[in-house]
Amino acid sequence: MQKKRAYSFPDEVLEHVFSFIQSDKDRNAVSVVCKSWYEIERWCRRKVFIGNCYAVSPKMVIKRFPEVRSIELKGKPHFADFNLVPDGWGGYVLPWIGEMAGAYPWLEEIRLKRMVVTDESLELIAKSFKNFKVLVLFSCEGFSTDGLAAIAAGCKNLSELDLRESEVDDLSGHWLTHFPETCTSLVSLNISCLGSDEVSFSALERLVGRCPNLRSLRLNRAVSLDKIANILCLAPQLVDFGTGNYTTELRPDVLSNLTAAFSSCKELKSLSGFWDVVPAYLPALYSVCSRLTSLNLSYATIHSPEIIKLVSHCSSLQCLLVLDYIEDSGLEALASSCKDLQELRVFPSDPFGVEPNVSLTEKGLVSVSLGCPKLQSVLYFCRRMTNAALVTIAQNCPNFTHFRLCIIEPKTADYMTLEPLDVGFGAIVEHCKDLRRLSLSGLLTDRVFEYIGTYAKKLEMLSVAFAGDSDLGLHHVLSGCESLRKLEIRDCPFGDKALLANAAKLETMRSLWMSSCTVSFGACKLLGQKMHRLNVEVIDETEPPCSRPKSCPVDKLYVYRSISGPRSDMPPFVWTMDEEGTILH
Amino acid sequence: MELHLGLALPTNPFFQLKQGPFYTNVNTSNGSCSSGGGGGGGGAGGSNKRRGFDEETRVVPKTLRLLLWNSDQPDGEDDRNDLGNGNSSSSAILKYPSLPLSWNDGEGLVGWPPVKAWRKKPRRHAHNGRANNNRMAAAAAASNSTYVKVKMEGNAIARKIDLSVHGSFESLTSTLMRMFDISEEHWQRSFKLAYQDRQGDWLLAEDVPWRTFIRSLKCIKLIRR
Repeated sequence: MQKKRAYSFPDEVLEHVFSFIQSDKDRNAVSVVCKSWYEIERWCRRKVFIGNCYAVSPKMVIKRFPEVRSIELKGKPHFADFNLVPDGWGGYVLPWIGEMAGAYPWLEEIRLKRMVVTDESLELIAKSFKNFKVLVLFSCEGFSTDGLAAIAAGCKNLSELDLRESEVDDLSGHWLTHFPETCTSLVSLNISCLGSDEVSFSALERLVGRCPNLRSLRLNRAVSLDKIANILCLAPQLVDFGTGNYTTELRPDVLSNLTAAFSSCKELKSLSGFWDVVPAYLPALYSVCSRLTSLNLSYATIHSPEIIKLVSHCSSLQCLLVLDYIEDSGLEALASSCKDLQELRVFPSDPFGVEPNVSLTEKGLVSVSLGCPKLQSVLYFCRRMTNAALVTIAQNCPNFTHFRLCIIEPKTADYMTLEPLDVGFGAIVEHCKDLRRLSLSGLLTDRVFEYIGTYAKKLEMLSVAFAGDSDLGLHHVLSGCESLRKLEIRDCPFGDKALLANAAKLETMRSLWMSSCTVSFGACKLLGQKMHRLNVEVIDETEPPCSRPKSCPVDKLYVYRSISGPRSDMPPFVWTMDEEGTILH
Repeated sequence: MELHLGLALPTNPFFQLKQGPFYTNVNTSNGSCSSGGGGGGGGAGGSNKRRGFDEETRVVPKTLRLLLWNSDQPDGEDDRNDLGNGNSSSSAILKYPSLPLSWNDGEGLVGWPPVKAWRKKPRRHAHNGRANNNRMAAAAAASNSTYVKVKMEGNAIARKIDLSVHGSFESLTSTLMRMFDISEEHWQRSFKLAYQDRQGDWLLAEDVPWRTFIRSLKCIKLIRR
């Protein structure tokens, strides 16, 4: 009997095959097939994504993947965006840059989110990586324009510099002049977060003029409207453009210049910026509107009639970000003009006002759900909602992947029936089988969590605030949501029982945030003691948690899985519970 | 009386333990509290919807408003201390001071609604003409954060402080003390907090309530007594 023998391929062949496998999930699957595949795969992995910079140490990453060219790191938990994470909590990138400087001399790309980046880190990047190409700093902080100058001067092949939503210490606009005259490789430049009034405009113009591959340019607020026509004429190949201030003196030539400039941009698909809009200049955009797939008007203080006029020209629109000035009437117009709409985000123009300042209600969202069959992702701030509306929306849009509803006043009930909104959100999770991200608001009892635990099997991220009645709510989520990776909770009556009963679940998730809940210090200690692969961090800015009885609730709790043990860079107001039950500081 | 009731949050688990009189009072005075207290399941909470819930009390609740009463109190001093860092000792009912309420004195909740810092600034409408003024206004509003300059008298270097994380003078002064490395007693002895408002006038911070201070201030100065 002849035995069939599988001849193993030479490593080079396998490597070549693996090079077609890009997704992390697939790569991870490949690496566990057998030892030799693990070895081959790790030597040829070029891209690494680390969702929590404290889950693993730089040395460990370098040891396993010695030939990385591109790295993405995330630092602070999401609630840091809303000031819930105190300054100085952590998320420093310098240790990573320090290690990679030696280990990855050919590193090309660094993408960071919610990390603390210093000028020193930026200078180290500029010095250490000869072929550095892409720097994306998303919601980062801690650096100044001096650091940017170092990047501009030092990275000869820079193709992408994207500072989206970062907080930059704006010392001077002259950092732009540090791009050498020989730099012609820029493809993407996003400086929209900079506040400096003196962006060196002439340097910017020269830079734009000499980069023929520039596809994406997002200016900051300091660049006024009359300058935009010049820029666009220098870069008619732009695909994505962010204006600066959309305002200037009303002069006839500005409008005509602007209109001509925009119409010369035949590739333009995405627009943003629009601070301080003068509506009279909006018609300059009409020629590009029909090609637009993405429009960000979320800084534009224009009202419904003007928004409607603009949006009704945008028949190809797939993504719209807008302020609630759009109102229900504008959303209705959107629903009839933009049949390809996939993503909608409506932000509040007056988030702290108690009375509604605009007529934006549940009706607007219902019209969009009815008129836009491809709608997949929603972020909606409003002041009232009903279960009936949510049920209708769920039935109209079973393809939702992201649904984030924020009813501005906490614990707002269904305004017609005065019931909790459990049934409405229940309908969302029941109908939208592919739902990956959900944010809840309004009056909610433990029932909504029962629905979520039962139906939301693909849910990866859940945000909860001012909801639930008891530990049962948390228990439903932790025991039912099989795909859950990130859970963030604030101001809910969730305590020890559910947490401890589901401790093992926490190792299958990236992280759990709980603030202003009723988890006791004793439970945190126990969790830290029993679960060695979790870092249990207690955050308290007022006093050490051990100075109070163990039964006292902790202020903030952040639990995340990690293979590198407790971190060593904790500030004084963070305590971590370790295996021996001691509290590390 | 109403104020007590408003402070009785349904999410406080201790209320689930049937503190009888408080519980029923909560139902009748404030619509939203009731269902939060018991909800769907039976058990401790009970189906409070059937608990003698009067029709006329079904108004849209303004729970938040009731909880801000402290900042309007004439003798603000004590209340500032209580609410300073979000601890709930301001409430007689909430006997468990460690039950954290992330309230922010005078400004509502910390981090709610969940909008990023640079969206919080009230929008300005552009006005036609006078490009220079526009540029100035744009520059003033251009900073994407809620930072203001702080100077200490006698010190050449100005610092910047993020106001959005502070909800009270307590919180602000303790950060300033840390920033300029001034001890508590030194502060009490030698310094006063002054600020320049939007009209350009210099005022003493201690003379005004937090809300007024926050809304009208342009920059801060630590002056020596």
